Amino acid sequence: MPPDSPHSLRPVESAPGDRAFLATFGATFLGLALVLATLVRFTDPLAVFGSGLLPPIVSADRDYKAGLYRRAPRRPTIVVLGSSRVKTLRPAAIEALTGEPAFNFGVNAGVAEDYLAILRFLRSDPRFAVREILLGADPESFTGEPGGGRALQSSRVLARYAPISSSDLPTASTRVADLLSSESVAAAFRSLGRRYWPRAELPQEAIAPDGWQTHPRWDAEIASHDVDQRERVRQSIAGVSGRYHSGLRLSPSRIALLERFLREARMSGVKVTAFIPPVHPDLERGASGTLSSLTSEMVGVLLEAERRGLLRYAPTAGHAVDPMLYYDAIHMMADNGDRLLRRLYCDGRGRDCAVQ
Amino acid sequence: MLFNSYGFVLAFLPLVLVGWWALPGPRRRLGFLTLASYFFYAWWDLRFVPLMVLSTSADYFAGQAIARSDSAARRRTVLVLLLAFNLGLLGLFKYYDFFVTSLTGVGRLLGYDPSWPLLHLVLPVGISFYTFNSISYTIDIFRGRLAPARSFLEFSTFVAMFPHLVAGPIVRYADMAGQFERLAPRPRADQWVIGLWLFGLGMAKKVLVADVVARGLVDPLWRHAGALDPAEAWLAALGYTVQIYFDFSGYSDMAVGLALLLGFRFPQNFDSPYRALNIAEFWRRWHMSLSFWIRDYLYIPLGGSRGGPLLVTRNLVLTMLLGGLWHGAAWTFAVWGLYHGALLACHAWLQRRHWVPVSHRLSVATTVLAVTAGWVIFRATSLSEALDLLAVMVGLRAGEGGHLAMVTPEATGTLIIAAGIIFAAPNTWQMRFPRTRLAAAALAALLLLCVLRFAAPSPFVYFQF
Repeated sequence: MPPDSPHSLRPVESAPGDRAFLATFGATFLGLALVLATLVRFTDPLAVFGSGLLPPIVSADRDYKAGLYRRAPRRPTIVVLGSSRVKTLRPAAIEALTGEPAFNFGVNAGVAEDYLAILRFLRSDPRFAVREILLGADPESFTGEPGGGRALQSSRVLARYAPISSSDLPTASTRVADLLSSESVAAAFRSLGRRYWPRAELPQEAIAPDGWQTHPRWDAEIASHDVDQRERVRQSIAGVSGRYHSGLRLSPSRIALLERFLREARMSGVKVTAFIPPVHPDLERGASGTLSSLTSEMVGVLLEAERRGLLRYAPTAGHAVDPMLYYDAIHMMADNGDRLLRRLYCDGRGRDCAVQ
Repeated sequence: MLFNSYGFVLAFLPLVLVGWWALPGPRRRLGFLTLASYFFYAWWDLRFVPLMVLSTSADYFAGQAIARSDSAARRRTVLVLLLAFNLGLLGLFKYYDFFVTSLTGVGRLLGYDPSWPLLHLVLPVGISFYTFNSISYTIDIFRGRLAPARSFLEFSTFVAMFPHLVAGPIVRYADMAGQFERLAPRPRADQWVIGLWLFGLGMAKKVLVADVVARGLVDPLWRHAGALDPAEAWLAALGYTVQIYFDFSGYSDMAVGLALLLGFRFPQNFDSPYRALNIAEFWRRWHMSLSFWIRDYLYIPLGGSRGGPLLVTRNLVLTMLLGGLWHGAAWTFAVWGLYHGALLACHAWLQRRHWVPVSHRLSVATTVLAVTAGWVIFRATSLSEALDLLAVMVGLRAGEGGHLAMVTPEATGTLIIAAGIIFAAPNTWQMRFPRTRLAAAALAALLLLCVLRFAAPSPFVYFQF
């Protein structure tokens, strides 16, 4: 830069403390980074490393549900699969409708790879008795690049069943992010806080032995009118609608994984009933049309699979959900889940429904 | 590779700094820096590297040929061929599909369907920046203002240097030649202190301000651009005004800081542009390296402000139209350029009539409003979206609204603080940075805070250009 430029830096002049500045900068940066990474590594708040000295603050539901399934006194014949959107479907309601034992294997941020991994896990059970899978095929599970989410990759039980190649394994950048991201660091502090300064409060999530998930704290808040449920849903719609950018499309690779899942299910003698878990009605508007086009695309995929005899598609578009029975934009409460199950098992089948 | 990524901050940068300062002799050091910069560039797409090498080679050898030739005609021929080559590459990768689509549209309106094929080429990152760097080199040699580079290695290092490679500042060889001749043999602590401050503050501008405002305010509102009410439309426009400034000036600060860590000095790119009193001053303060480039290599050769009002207007509008198209191959950028050309022409007209602004604050506010309206055109995905939003802003129409719930409190708070910084804080390059141990610890903590947000990095706005 010419020295007479009007827009050049001030002349850089040395100062006596410069070396001390640099030493302090380097030591602080490396020291803090090391402390935070160590804290995250050993507390493992997001259940990524399997080294947790403290209980994780997220539910490591893949491994937890695999354990519940193995310990189930009666082998389920009906299994619910899907993302967190189906976790509030009650296996007890299914049993009441069908008379068969059921299990909810919905997992947080479930994607196509999860469903295939879970199916293979179920089949590896010598007492495998599954007759039907209820697949909550929300379109988002079939977007993005395959490789399994971080949760599946780090699942001690399910990872070995996952269709993950070596190139799908976490990159160095992902591994650093596991240690040094604001989410993991904040979670580590929350984990420490819970351990050493516990508060007498209801848990955010609870998972029953049949895999059914409840939200005790939210349920209590809603029951006592402590929160404005409409506002909570509205805010969550604001947060969630950001996912639905105009470029979001179904991933051919993940649709291919769905096909593999369906074929392996058929080979195992398992019937698949697929449905799209209904989101809050207001989300359709908030998602700027992308969600509805994604959903239409997904319906097309499911109808095509039905035409080829790979599954039964149960439409939920006209399903009369109660907008007040949602925890947020995408997670319905159990009562809405019961309505959905009645639709799946009663409509068009002519059965008597025990659950009313 | 993004500056705001784990790979860059925790691996690439430390390794490059160690290698650069540890290697003996200028040739090895420049060779190392060039290879490291190619690696940095190849991180996006390896296929882009040969293109840059080709462009670098063409410019270097054209510069040599021009400098060696005694024949004015031959010098001009080489220059024209070189310009055609550089602009041809840029045109092919950046503008071909745009012009074909536009011409096809015009043809169809006239009842003729030309059916020209589209190429769907991937735009090489930073091609606009390094093409302009190279063009200025050859033109300066042609004008006799610059001696050609002493070696191909020095020129390759100049073109590829990773701090400025993908989003500027647009550096001229004249600024760098002397620095290559006198490479600092060892790092200077004082330069490192300032370099770290600039890098850290630039990173904070990007990660803690621009990205927060973008994710929590600008993007959610712009996704519903057709349905905003006037308050939301203004918030969306002002939010983007803040976002793009912090994003791009943050990048520029980082680039200048990185250059200092390597012992180089780059030109500054921003001089508190939103405090400009008029639109001409805004362009002397915003993306200065581009403004001065188009002034020196486009506006002045066209005639500049010599000649009558019509000629000056033509020069301003044409220069800004091309400046707009430099940003991207879309009608929104063309119209944005024309808009600024028209504003500059109006300003020139007022100046001729010795118009005196009523008040300082009013002038600043008017300029910011005019620039903000321009950013609406710049940010919009189509002209109709831009016109819709502008119509809402001036009250000609209004959407149903109800989108403020999408704006996060963090983004709102950040926007307010950022506005304070824009109008009250000095430019980073004018600051006297504290150099105490406490300040060092605070800067390290600030940088680490940014690093913690790298898990989902967003690219810089100007990377697309």
